[in-house]
Amino acid sequence: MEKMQGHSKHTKQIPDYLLDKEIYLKLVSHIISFSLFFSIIDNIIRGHYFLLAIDIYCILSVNFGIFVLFRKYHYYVAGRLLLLSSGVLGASAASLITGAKYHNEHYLLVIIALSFLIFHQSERKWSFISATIAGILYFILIQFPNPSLPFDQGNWTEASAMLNQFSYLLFFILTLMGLSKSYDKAIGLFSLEAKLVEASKMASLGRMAGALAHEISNPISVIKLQMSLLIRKAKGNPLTFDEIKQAETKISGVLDRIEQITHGLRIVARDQRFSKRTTRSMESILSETLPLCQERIKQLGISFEFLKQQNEHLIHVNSAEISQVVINLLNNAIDAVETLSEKKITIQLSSESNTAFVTVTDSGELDSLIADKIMEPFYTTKAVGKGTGLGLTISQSIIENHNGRLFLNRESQKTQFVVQLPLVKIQEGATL
Amino acid sequence: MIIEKILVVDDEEDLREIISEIFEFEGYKVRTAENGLEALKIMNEFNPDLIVTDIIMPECDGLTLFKELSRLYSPPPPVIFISGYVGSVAIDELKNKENFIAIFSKPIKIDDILNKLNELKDS
Repeated sequence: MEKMQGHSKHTKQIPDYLLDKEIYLKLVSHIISFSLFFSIIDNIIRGHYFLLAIDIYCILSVNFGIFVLFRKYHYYVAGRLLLLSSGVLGASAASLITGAKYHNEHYLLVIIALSFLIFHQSERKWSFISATIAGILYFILIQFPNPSLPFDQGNWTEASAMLNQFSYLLFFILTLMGLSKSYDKAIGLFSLEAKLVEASKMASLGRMAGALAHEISNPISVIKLQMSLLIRKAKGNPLTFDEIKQAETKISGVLDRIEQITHGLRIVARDQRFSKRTTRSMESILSETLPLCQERIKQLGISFEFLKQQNEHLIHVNSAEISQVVINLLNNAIDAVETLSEKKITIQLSSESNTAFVTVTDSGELDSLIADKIMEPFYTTKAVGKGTGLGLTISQSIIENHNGRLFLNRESQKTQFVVQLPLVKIQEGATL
Repeated sequence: MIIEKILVVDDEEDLREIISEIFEFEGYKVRTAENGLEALKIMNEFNPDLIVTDIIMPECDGLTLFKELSRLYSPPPPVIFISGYVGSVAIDELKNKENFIAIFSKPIKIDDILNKLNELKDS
């Protein structure tokens, strides 16, 4: 466990909220580069070579900032700062040297747009704070070459230009606030899908709830009975150390089982939208998940086998999501075999080159017509109220989001679903 | 009714052991089995006065064990069921049988079972 933590520290990952916004950030950098391209041409024609240099600097810094954000993962804080500073630097340098007060708004666009985009929604106040600071800085800096302007001279043209510029600023802020609301709405739409995943997971967990309660009630019985035996013994003679130790060992053993179940539940039930991807072994994810299904398997008299190799299969995943996929596949397999005379489910974990394979095979056989449609959304062979027809579709999308594949192996005689996930490459000599 | 020997049937090893330990402490002779099939094998050799059995177990569950006992023995030994699924298991038809004593839900309260045993012994 310690080893894994060390490993994840070593390769700090891009935060999920940044990944969600990758497309927006890149779009903004392209728009800015595009607008600056015209500014460059304008400055070449007018012979404003210093402004030209500033424009080039801005294009490079914005694009380099995006590059840093998404390539040098552990420097993403530096990436944020670089992006925020590039606009201020560009705007202030241009103003300081040339005293130009106009047409520098695109630098502000850089600052404000990025400040809205690179902060998480929950950090929205920081977006406003950074945009406001950037705006104030710009406002002050643009005055710097001639601080007396425009009011002392009573130059109303200048003053109106300044007001004009201030209204530009307001316009940008308001537009971006509006955009950010639309962005939130767009995210809200995406989160509909996330809510569906969540609902499907809760449905799977709900189906296991009865079996889980039973799984926990047995260890509780053992604890209560151990206590009862101790009290009975203590009534006659004083308890010996060995008697107490023996009871303690047994109680600890069953408490470990309860802990294992609740740990698995906690991992599966937590809101995946806030879970990050970590490097973990597929074995550990399966050992956390399988106890949640085992009581249901036992209850229905299904024979269950878990086959694995000696070596560890390290994958970089959102554990809760992968657990959900395993539970979905197992629930499907349980539903498929519960009415059969031969009730058997096998989970096998293996690897080939850079891919981990988890196969879930049950003793059922799928009709080829059903096999054709089984991965389609809303297709279900289960009774009304038992399945949504979305379990496999959601599982497939989860696995594909992890750059893997989930499919029905039609070459297998028995029903077999295969999950493929890319293995984490460990560099030679790297300490995990 | 004389109750000296009890057969405890449960697939949960920890539970099986602690129940039998308590029965032994209370002065009963106890044997254990991990499912109905194993219980049926022990029956002739041990000849228990009472069987305490779980219901849901692999291979041969408690209800099948109960039916088999009724078929193989006359009179069949009395049976106390313990189960985590009281209410969801179809035991209504068994309740009318002579050798059905009681059903207790898990988590088990051992005093309830011991009181039931005393009641039986007094009857």
